[in-house]
Amino acid sequence: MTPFRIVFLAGCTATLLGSGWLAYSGVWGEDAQTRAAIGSVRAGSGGNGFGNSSVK
Amino acid sequence: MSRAETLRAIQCPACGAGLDVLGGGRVAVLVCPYCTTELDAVQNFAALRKFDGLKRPNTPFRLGMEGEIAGVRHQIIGILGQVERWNGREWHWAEHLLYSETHGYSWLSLESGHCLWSRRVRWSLPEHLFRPSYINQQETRPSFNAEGRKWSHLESTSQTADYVEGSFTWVPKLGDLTSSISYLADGEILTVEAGTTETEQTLTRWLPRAEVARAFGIAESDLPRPEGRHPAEPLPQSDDRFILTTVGLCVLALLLCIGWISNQSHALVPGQRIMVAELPRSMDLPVTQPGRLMGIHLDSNVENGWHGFDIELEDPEGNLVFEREAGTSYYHGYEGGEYWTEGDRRAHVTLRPEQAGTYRLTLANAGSEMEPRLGYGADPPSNPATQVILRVVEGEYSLNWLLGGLLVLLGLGAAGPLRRWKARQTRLRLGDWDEE
Repeated sequence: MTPFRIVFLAGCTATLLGSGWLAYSGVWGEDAQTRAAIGSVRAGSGGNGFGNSSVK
Repeated sequence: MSRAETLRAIQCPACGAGLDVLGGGRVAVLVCPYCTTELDAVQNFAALRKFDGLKRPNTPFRLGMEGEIAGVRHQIIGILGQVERWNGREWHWAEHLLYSETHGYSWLSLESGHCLWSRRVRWSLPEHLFRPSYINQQETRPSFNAEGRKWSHLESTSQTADYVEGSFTWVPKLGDLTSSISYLADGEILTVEAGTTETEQTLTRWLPRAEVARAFGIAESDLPRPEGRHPAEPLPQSDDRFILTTVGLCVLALLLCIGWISNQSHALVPGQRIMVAELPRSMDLPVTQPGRLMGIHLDSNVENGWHGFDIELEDPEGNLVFEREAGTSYYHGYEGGEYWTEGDRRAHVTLRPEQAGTYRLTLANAGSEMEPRLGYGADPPSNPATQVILRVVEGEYSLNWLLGGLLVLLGLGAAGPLRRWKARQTRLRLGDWDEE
């Protein structure tokens, strides 16, 4: 097993595991507006993602 | 040429030094390493002439040293210093004439710190490819096939000997110009040398320095440091099969991964058609995969306008998670005789529920804004949405990462062939062929 093969194997494994985990976890999959709306609810607002809608 | 085979040592007639007679029955001259007097091996080692002002090349090898090359025992019987001069520059190297009782004569060269072993061959070669006049006329790098391999032109050189020591099977003439043309195949150089009286074909192979040093009983550090890569140095070990196998298995694993991940997602609300007039509508979402992405997808039938929907989500404890508006729009028509479209009838919201349990989703009508009819020709209709298809999926995944991983793996798969191609190109560039 040469150093090149070790590095290559490590790279392929990292690519496989990394892309699999990122896809499964849905990293960067949430949309920003919903995240902001959730955040504003936690902060105490009515929860509307568009500031000019009625507050519950 | 012959001499008494039993003769093993003589005294130099010029300086009296004791000299070992090396090299078998074809030796023609012996140059005393002490006083550089050339002795005629055929005529009882009579002094022929003396070389003055010779500078010994940088080599740790000495006359009489023995070592095994290619499984055959060889002895160093002569040392030649060679020099090539071109465009105001000089290149020096040492050539060691080797003698084997079973395999005859060959050469061990020490060139820019690289060890090369050369032996004479007699192949049937295309003569014109070894003529300088032909080479100079070519616009592309000349090449040919012989002995089962492809040979590409490497260099055309002219060299002279500037140092002699030991036994030789011919009479070396210092200062005589020898021209040669070399071709390169994988790990070997084929040289045709046109000397003043004869033409020789020589096949040269690169040898690992450590092996040569060990064979001749010297330290590898005694050899001059290698300068860069030698053209005859073998290409990097072929890893193509390993690379393709590894990439193939990873791609297969990735595809299985895609299958498994997509199997983990399931619809909490599978494509339910809801009339806008029936809104607001609430429904329960039994979330079982907290922390994973959940997607709420809307698909309306709005026509030339915008239609919004309010989405409200409560967690299992009845607390509001979020409330936001999702808009769908679609515009189309003709302009300048061309049909155009704009907007997306679909809207989606993605979030990550923090806890498992039954969430409450409420969908309400947020109103619409229609594009007034423009009155051109075939006027497309303009209608607010009358229905919306709602789909909620739990355990959504990001396919882009998997596609990205696939691309990276395919790119890695090209590493082996790319590496060998680059090494091959670099190797040929070490010669003197100008691609331009």
